[in-house]
Amino acid sequence: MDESTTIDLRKPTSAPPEVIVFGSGACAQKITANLSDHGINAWLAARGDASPAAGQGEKRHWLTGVELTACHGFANNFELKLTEKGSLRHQHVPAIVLAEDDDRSPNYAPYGLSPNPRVLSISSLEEKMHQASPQSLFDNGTRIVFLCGWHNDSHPAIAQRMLAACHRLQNRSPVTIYFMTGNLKVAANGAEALVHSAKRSGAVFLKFTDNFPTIQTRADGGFEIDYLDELTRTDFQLKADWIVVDETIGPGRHLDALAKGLGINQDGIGFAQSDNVRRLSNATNRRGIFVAGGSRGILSDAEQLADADQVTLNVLAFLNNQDAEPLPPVAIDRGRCARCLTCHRLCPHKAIDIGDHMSVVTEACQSCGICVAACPARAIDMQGVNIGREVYQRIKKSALNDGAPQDTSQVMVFGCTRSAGQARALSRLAGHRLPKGVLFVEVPCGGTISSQHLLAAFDAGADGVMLCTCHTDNCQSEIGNQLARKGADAARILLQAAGVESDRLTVASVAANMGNELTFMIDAFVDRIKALNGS
Amino acid sequence: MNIDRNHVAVIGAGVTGLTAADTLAGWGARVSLVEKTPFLGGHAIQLNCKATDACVKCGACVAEDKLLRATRHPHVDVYTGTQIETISGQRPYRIAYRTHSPLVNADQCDECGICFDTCPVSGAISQGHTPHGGPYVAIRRDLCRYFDHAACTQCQDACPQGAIVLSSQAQAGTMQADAILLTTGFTPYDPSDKPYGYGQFPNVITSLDAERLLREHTVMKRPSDGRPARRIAFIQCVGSRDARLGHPWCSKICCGSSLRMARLIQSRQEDTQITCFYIDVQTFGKDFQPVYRNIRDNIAMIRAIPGDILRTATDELEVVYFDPQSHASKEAVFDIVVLSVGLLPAEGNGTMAQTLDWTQDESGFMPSHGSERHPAPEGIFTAGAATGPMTIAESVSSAQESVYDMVRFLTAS
Repeated sequence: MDESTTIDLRKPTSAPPEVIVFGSGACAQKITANLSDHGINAWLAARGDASPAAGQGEKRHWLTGVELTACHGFANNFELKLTEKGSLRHQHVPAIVLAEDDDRSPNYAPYGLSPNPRVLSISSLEEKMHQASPQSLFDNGTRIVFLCGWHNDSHPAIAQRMLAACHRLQNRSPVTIYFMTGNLKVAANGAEALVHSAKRSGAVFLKFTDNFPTIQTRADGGFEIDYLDELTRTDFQLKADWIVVDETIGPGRHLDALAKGLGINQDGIGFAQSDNVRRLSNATNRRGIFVAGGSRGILSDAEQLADADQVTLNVLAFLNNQDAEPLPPVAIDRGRCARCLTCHRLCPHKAIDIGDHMSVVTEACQSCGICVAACPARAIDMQGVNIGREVYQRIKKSALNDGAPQDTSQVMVFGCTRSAGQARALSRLAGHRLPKGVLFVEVPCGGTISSQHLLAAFDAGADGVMLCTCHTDNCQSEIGNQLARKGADAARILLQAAGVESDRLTVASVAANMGNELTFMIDAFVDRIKALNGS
Repeated sequence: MNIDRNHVAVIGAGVTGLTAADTLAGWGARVSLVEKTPFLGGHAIQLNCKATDACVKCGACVAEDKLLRATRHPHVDVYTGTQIETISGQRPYRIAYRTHSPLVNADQCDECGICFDTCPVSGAISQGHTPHGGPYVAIRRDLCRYFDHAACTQCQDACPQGAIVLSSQAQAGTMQADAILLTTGFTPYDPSDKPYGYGQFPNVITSLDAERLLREHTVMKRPSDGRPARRIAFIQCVGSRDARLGHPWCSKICCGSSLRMARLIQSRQEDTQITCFYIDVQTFGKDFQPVYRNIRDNIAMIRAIPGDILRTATDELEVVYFDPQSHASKEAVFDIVVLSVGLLPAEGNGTMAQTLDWTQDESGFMPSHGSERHPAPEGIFTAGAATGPMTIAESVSSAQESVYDMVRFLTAS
């Protein structure tokens, strides 16, 4: 094999690594071809019968009729149980790519229409235009109405295709196009220029804000569209021969089963990536599993192909171990572990191995400390991180060294290193000093902090405790911030029972770039604690 | 895939350039990250986190993260205040540059702000991030009157620390690169020519001004008198989607940015009435539909672009627009008007295209290096908003896609 195209794994390997790519469309095919170019044994696993896209004819490593039965193992060593056309197949792979195509369903009902030979979806119009020249498709003088994003907004990826088709038809065939739209989505490359050009060629754009037209299907197959023109406030009726409707892009039909089978968190719509900027661009909650193209969200065809290159780079970086951050290792004490499975249940990165004894898999672990905080037997430790001890030591040290008078309020601030820690660094660089008596404890994740840690801070002598986590949906470990809030709620109940004002414990959401805001939040909290102490 | 022996230059240290520099360095390349301003992070780093309770996925925090990663990488050499003069030869390219030593000595500056108050030119003195990620004060040579034959030295004279030396000389240098990535970003539209009184009425500000004000005070205060703003208008598409200006493109980021900012302001300043004048609201975020419904419940959305802004006798702003509901001309009064300025091709694109013997695309942006219509010179790559308006998430993707092409190029030859 040519050395220049072989991946440099920086460790001796006997066989090239294997990677499995779930999907069948152009994006999945391009990823498979890319990885093969770099000497990776890449498998395309298609649910149905995949047919190669132009220029991607290499079928050597194509599996068809594939269903995922189970996924065991961890990054660098996944064990997939598949059925291939009904027969069982085991595959060991270090990395997995999820690149199923999205699903594009025509919108008939939102326009009061039903499927009809004269109502085309944008995909079927594109198909028609692909098979025959635009000139031959429609008779002279045909009126075609495009319907786009009325009650439900369209998406630029769809609108761009409609605008491209509208532009091409209006220019190349003897038709008149009426483009009836809500918000016209032009936030795609070249879309606004297409609108201008289509208008110059005679296409008519009609926009609606709140009152949308009504459509009647005539007996002869044509349509009557009644609408109130927003510019002139006049009622019009438009007669149309053909209607083209937009589509809604959603997750592919098999994506849900694949994501669940692989243990991948999904977004609110069902795409196989949580809606979290920390996953940019192809990462999932599990190290070694990547998501690309129509599996991670709504991307145009061109964006999906570009995404194939991006995910290739990310997979290669992973196989090269370039993505590994220097994180403190987490270990389970076998003697203390009661196999209650709390860690396994909570771990957002699926990094807990249930073998003969429970263990944390380093390749998959992100060192968030959620398991450390949650373990009822306190059997889990993160190397170099002992928050309980740090709390006592820091407060003791500050009381001795600060030279602070006895009446200075002691406030302990816990901050996630990925957000509040960075914000704290920013505010320090901007010259802001922490008020006297404030101790800032940087922790790996909000989820590292349990109710015990919060109570320990009060026990050690803190007058107030502030817990800073990432905003909802912005946690590197998905649920660390939610668990932190739960811990604070539990601690507050106990504080109240002990006669401590619950206002002395607060939880704040802080982003990495909120240096100023963090300063103001801490100042305000210190003032509140001072007021409570004074009363 | 080994590019350990390769040297690459990344020109422009916004979020795209920072992402690319970090990724290329991760693959072993020696990276020179060249930035013409004294600051890293470009426009993205100036943006506010728009989260209220939950993250709204604007991506602003990503810029901070990429800056830290890139500047901490031992293979990334940062050249701030550095302007590319010429690029010549074939691989390796010879890049001639000039580095302006900072006019403000960061060690002496204590950020007292006296220079801001003294400077007669709005925006000529700004704050940003040093190569080490720290905030610091800088003077923009393109706006400063000292460099405009006027020889104004008011800030230098006023600085109590003696930290400003306007006569600092630029130094010339050269570097070699096996491949070059252009991540030169965009130039925001200057709305001075629009009939909105920008530059005359202090409370008419651009979206970037609004980001800075909000970041500084965390709430929206009127620049004229520091009073909290109770009525704010956003005007979208100022300088984009404008055929008369020859800007037939949507700037993509402004609807999301303005409406998220509007909700952030309302979350911090209750009872703030916000009106948004727009042409078409563009989709932002995966959860656009429910988010937009919530926005329509809280923000007056008016589908019209105002014609004029006048200042009233009581120093308020009167916006004149054609109301699509009543079908008549209407006036509304605001404390602050935010102009959502469009993203234009970077100012230096013309000279860059010339020295590379390449071209700009029809709009003036740099072509994609994969463009069939404008094939790129061998070894030259582009990414991010240099090629057209992009969100932060798209810029990160674009950077990585281009790095993949660069790595392929460098390992194939």
